[in-house]
Amino acid sequence: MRWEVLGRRTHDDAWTAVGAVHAPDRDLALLLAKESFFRHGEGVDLAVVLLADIHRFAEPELLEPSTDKSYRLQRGYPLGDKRRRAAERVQAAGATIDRPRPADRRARNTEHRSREAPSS
Amino acid sequence: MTDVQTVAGTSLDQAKLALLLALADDELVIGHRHSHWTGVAPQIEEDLAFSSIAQDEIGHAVVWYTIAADTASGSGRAEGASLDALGLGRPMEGYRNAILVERENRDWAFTIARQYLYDTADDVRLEALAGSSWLAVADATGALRREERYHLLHAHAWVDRLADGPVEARRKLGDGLVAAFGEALGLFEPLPGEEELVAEGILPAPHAELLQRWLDLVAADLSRVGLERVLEEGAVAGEGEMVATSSGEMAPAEVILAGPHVTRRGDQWVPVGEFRGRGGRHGIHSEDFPAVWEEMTGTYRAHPGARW
Repeated sequence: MRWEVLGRRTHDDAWTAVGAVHAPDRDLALLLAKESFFRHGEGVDLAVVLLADIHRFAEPELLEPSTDKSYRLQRGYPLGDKRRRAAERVQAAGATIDRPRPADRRARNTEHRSREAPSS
Repeated sequence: MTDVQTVAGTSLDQAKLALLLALADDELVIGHRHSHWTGVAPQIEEDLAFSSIAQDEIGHAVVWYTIAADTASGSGRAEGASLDALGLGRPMEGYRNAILVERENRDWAFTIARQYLYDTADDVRLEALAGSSWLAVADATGALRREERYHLLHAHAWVDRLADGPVEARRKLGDGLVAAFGEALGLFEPLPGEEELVAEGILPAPHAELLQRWLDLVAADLSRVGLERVLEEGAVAGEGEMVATSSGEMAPAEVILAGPHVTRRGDQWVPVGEFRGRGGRHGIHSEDFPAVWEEMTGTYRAHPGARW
């Protein structure tokens, strides 16, 4: 029997799939999963679920977008030209941009995405 | 090379060292034997689990060797006794592991039978040592028992399932347990200086008492899975051909560890008779030991004192 192994890295994290084990029953699956995926302090929580108990969406082809959805994504809005033109205007005006970029761009982006998530 | 076993010291110092070497050498040698399954265990997941247990046991050996080295050098008699020298630099007769742990793995059933009997015994003695008056030893038991908890879960998972059948699995497990049982009693062979260790509270209970605790646990498990025949057929400790020392001399028959055997008294299985002769706790080993000693210590002996 194949069991999917789930883990949580910290108590604040959601469950994520970390792998799979073959085992004849639940208890052995848990025992084997511990040593297969949690030997080096990988997490604080471990669970297994029988592959047969995972219900797959019946029509995975529907997961592929059938029309252009680029307008829902940041990358759908090319900003390169706009930026270049702005830079040229700044230069033509004899000005400089003296403020450094915000330090933690990644954190800012994540925050931005999560704020937008529900509407997309 | 400093041989911590031969340094002069009070008899209590020697007894304390005998205790640590018994604990450490059991773990080192069974860990080494377990590691022989790496790559060839019955199943990939089990391969990982069993290899991990092997590493755990060797890690436990390091804990005990560290206390031994600290103790020896702290009292100024074994300067520079490094862990490698202590763990890998001794001649065969310097090893104080019980004979059970040096036996070849034979088959998976014997391996599981031995792992079950050994880790049950290890848990009994760690539980006792948690109350030791020697604080370094008592403190070490906590972390070790947490890992041993997994080892016990692993052993019980396999014993329960193999005992459940099919018929061949059940028979092989029973045979493995019978083959290992007699020498498992040897894990409780009294240590040199045991009386002093008990009197000082370093060993909170004599091995005879620990043996009974172990036997109660094992008898309950075997009865639950319907394998009481193991207790009836289990050979007496010390069975098997013995070799004594690295000089190749055979141990005279009268010094080979023998007895006790077990019998049912009312509802309880009890050991009958005393240990006679000497076994692993006195450096007397079986014919299976030279090969594993050779392999285990070969690299160290080829490059003594090397830093890794």
